[in-house]
Amino acid sequence: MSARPTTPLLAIRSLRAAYGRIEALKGVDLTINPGEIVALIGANGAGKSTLMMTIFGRPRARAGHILFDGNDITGRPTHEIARLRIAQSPEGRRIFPRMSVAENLQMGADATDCSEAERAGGLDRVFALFPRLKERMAQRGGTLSGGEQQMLAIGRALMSRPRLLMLDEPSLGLAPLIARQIFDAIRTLNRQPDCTRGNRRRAAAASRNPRCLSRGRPAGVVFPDA
Amino acid sequence: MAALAPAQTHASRAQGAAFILKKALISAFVALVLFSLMIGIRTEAGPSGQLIYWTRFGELAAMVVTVFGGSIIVELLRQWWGPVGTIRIVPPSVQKALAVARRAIAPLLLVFTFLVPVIFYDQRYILDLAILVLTYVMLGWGLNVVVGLAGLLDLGYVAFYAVGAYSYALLATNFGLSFWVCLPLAGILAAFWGMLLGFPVLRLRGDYLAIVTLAFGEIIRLVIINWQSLTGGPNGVSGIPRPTLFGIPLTPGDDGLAARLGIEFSPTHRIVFLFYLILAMALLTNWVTIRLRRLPIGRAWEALREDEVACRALGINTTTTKLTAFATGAMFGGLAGAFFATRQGFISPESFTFQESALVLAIVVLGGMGSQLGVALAALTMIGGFELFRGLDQYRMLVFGIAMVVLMIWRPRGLIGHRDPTVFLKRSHAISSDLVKEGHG
Repeated sequence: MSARPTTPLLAIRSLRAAYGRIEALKGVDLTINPGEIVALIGANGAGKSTLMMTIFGRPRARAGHILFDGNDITGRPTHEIARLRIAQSPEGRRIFPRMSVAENLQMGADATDCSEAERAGGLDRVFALFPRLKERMAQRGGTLSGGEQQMLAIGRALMSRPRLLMLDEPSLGLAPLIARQIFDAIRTLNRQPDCTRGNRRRAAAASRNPRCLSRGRPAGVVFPDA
Repeated sequence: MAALAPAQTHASRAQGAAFILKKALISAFVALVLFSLMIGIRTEAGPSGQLIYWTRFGELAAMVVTVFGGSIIVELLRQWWGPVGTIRIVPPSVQKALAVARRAIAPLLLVFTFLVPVIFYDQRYILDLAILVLTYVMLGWGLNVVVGLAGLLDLGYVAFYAVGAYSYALLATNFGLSFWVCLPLAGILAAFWGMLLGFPVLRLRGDYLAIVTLAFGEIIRLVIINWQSLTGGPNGVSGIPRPTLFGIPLTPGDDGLAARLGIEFSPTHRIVFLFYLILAMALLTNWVTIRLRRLPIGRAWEALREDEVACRALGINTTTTKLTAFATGAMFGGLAGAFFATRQGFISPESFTFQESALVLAIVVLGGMGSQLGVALAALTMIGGFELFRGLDQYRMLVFGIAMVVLMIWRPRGLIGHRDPTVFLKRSHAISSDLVKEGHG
């Protein structure tokens, strides 16, 4: 694990971002290596969501660099970043309520140009991970339970076969049992090749390597007593 | 317990009667205050300009009594019907029959539409009305792309209708271009203006978007009125050429279609031709929309309507998604406008007021946002129904307004609020989403 000659999958160097005059990120450094689960934890307003969204291009970085696989992606538009196979499951799930489960999943595949075979493969992978979604395929997204919606949000992000999967608050508002299922799924995913993901909070237990943010600055590394 | 129950219901009913009476009295009082001036006193300018007025207490009393009685009836109906949102069990046989009817209505309607000129060949009025309805069906389907699918509230749709109409009128009268050359040009020009409107409103949503599009519609109309040298201003453009059947005019002359076919000329030929022309254009709009809905761009429109933040999180380019929605909707509006110009032979800014935008928007909303069949049915009801009520004279608008309010209470999602999914994986309809209540999965 330690002697890794490859470049890190994601390298963030003194990144700054702001909403208007309010600076949300004040020089963040973060490195994520291939195959790693990274948990980003911190208090409310620490800048966790902002960091994820800045990696995704919105809000734009004011200063600093974001390197994905060695390439600078700072300031690139969101849809181009998605094409590099970085996927995001936003906070609060945000599935499309009036569209069916199948359509929601299809939306995840639409942003990256993938072939019919790749799409089918992606579907199989999502259904293997979350068999509940297969049962609910024809149902409208808005009719799913909270846990199923979270599964759908993660599944939707997975449809673009991401190399980096970022999950914002994957256990928000879920019963502990369902949250455990979600984190089990995340660990399962991580054992499959060519996958890295960052997530946070309760994910600290799933991660060997949580990072902590405090008021827009890195605040050392916290090791959970897992 | 058993003895108590009837007494309780009796008590609540008695209390209900008092409540109904009280409500009716309040309504009657409000009506009295409102109508005492509106109906109770009639004023008129006398022969030498002075004000004459006389009282109409009889009418006032009748109005107040009507409101009183109406209030009681409405309250009784409401009690009999039960609270709003009560789930009523429909027997399966009726459900099955309804499902069959729902599936059959679109093909039946289409066949009937094709046969309209055959059935009503001698009734010019009905043919004209049918052409008008179809024009609004096409406009409704066009706006449905913007409002129903992409969820962008557009109050200035008539601007693109105007752009299409004036494009054809000016190209045809100034350069002598034929309808079939101008039709795509009108569509392209309208789509261009749709993009132009799209750029400044990219960051706007909901109310703010509605205000800007409303202003855009007015700007186009005012430019048309004031740019006299190009558009003829308030006088409009006249002498717009009639459409030809790929170069063959529908005139009584020797080179006309009737002469060539060796049949007797009749002015109805042109009406029938116009009918099938607008029917073909409307069906093209429908077909393109249905196809687009199954492509990534159509799905992106619908996803944009559902949740813009989620769209960005998935890496969907929201800029191109919005612009294509505006451009596609505008293009269909422009095509319909070109048809309008060739049918009328004369256009003026008066045809492109905000009322038209509102009417088309009402068709889309009443039809059920995003539903193609719903929009067609709504256009039929709105335009056809409006003509049906012509005998009611000044009460026409009143009846119309009441009908709209009732429809929105009865079906808040529009005539057809059901949305068919476009992605199917092996088995398509395992569970009808209609049967599952939101949040109770």
